[in-house]
Amino acid sequence: MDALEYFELLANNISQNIEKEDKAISSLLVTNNNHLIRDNLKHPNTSREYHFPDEVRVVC
Amino acid sequence: MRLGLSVNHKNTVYLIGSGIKSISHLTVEAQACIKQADKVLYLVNEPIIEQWIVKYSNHCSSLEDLYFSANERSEKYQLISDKIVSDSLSTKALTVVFYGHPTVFAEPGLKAIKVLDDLNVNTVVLPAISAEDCLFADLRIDPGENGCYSVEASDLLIYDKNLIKDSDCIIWQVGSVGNIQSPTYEVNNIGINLLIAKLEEYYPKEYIVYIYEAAMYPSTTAYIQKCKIKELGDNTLTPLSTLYIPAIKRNPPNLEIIRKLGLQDKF
Repeated sequence: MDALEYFELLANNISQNIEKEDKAISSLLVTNNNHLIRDNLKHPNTSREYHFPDEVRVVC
Repeated sequence: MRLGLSVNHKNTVYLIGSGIKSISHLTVEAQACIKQADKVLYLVNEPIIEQWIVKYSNHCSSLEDLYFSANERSEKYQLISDKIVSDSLSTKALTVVFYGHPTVFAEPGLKAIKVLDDLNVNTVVLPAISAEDCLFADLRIDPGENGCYSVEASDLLIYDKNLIKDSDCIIWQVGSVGNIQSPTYEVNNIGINLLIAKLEEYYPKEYIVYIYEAAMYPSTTAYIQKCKIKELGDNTLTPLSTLYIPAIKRNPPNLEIIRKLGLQDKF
């Protein structure tokens, strides 16, 4: 599953909780190819809460 | 031409928006316009929606290079508008995608549509989800309750516009106040201080306002920060920030108007 497929899955899932894919997306989002997505998830205000898996939040 | 929405043989331009939250905000008709057009031009806010367009369109091209080829926003918009007009003349069905709503704070699309309407090209403009729509949902606001005044931050200052205290007020691009070039994370402090001074002409310094940014990805949440007007400059503002100011008071009903409307027993 690539990043696009993952987000398509999220967009089509009402609970938006697809835990089994968390690890896959974590590795996708930290690669250089996806640096723009990672930057979007990184916000200068640290109080912002993104409900992404821990691995991603650490990187962001 | 694959798109079945056109009823004659003239070229057609579909101006659409991708919404704010990637993929989630694409309407069914917007998806059809992307999938069935001969060509798609796009200027979007993040890479996933770009990947979606690349995957599902027959042929597409980004407007980003044009956007970044000029310094001032007005120049960028003119270049993009010219590109849309130019491509529309050689494309049977052309879809142009902007993020958000295609006519809300998206000047080049509307500019092009006005030119195309004079060039005998069919134009279709579809509604989409804007940041303001997201704000209404996330802050649980019904703009029908107090009315809602919407204004761009720099315009508010430069044209000395009035705020309406008995309506909710939404100030767009508050993090870009005073900036006419590409959006930047560097806030113009002079602009913010002028904005605070403007707001304090209407509201108490202690009045609570909301800094808002809509969620950009499914499974993420909006950014909502409450602060006092006088502390606006101490908070993180970005090019995506919108300021929401709740109505401060509601005018009492006009009894003379109520009498003329025959509604005396309702108030």
